[in-house]
Amino acid sequence: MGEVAVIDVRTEILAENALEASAIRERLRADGIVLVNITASPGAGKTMLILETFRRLRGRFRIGVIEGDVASQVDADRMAAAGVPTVQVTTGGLCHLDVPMVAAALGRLTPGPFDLVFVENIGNLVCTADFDLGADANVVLLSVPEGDDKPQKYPLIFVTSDALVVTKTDYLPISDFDLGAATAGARALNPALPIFPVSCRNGDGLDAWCAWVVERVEARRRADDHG
Amino acid sequence: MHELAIGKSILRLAVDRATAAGRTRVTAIDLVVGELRNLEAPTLQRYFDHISAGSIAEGAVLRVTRAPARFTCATCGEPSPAIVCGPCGGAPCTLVGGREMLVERLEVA
Ligand SMILES: Nc1nc2c(ncn2[C@@H]2O[C@H](COP(=O)(O)OP(=O)(O)OP(=O)(O)O)[C@@H](O)[C@H]2O)c(=O)[nH]1
Ligand SMILES: [Mg+2]
Ligand SMILES: [Zn+2]
Repeated sequence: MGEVAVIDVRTEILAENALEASAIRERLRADGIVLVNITASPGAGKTMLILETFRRLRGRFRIGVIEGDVASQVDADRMAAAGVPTVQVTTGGLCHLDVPMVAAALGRLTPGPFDLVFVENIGNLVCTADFDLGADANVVLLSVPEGDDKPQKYPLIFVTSDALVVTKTDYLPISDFDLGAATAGARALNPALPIFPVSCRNGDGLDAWCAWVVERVEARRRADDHG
Repeated sequence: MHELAIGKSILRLAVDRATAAGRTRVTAIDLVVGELRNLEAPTLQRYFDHISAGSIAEGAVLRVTRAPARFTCATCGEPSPAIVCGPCGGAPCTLVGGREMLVERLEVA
């Protein structure tokens, strides 16, 4: 001992996070909850999309929300004002939510039981991409004012997402945002990615988006029925 | 900022493996990071220096090798460097590399 040596490790750095994510995925499956993780830049329309989705699906499913925020309580207050069962998670400066934070929030979310829980992740396209939260579906939002080049600039989040929602499409007529370019950029990274252009201002596209969410919950129920 | 959480995982892994091998110092850590990962090596090193202070990995140098994005063609099964297959022109190809983030090996004393 004392001499220099090399140890082969060949282990994923986030192996522990992956284990925690699988554990929470199992637990959600057992509890019959579909968890949908919503990620986007600050101000892309995450809160608005969750509120509009809640309004359309509240008669059908029991829906809850976990609000991630760096510091404030503003979005959780908006949710509560709309009658959405909500738990606030304040990260105290941290740039992403992780599995232990989500697990703790799920424990505090009342009144259950829930069919569908949305996580509003921290407004950030970079850090959130690295951390699997154990969600059934990871959804990335890209708002028209941000520009259509975001898939090239932040590739990982478009690779790890199960759907892309292009928000604020009511701005398209006064913007140089090219929906075809955004679609091509995202599909170059994730060929089968479903893409939903929506406006929470005029309601365009929200039915198609909600149908996709409904299908996630129904698919879970069919899987449960079969075993 | 995600470099902090990642740095903590690297530190834990390095200290655990070195200790299990009966070693008392980690001098270098080789990492393989896919090019799609948003990881700044200098930032990671700075956070690592901070959190490893006082541990057996204090002063360890992080050496990062970037792994390129790689695809496999769904049509012909050949590896391809891009979404459109080089060998047969088929598209789209499936992403198989570029997201990895591994501790490859440690240099210990
Ligand atoms: N025109 C238009 N404005 C929208 C739309 N959706 C959201 N907004 C506006 O965009 C602003 C930000 O919306 P939020 O839903 O708070 O966005 P967010 O992503 O939750 O923001 P943070 O949580 O602060 O990161 C608000 O002023 C909304 O009214 C839309 O579809 N069209
Ligand atoms: Mg919000
Ligand atoms: Zn091919």
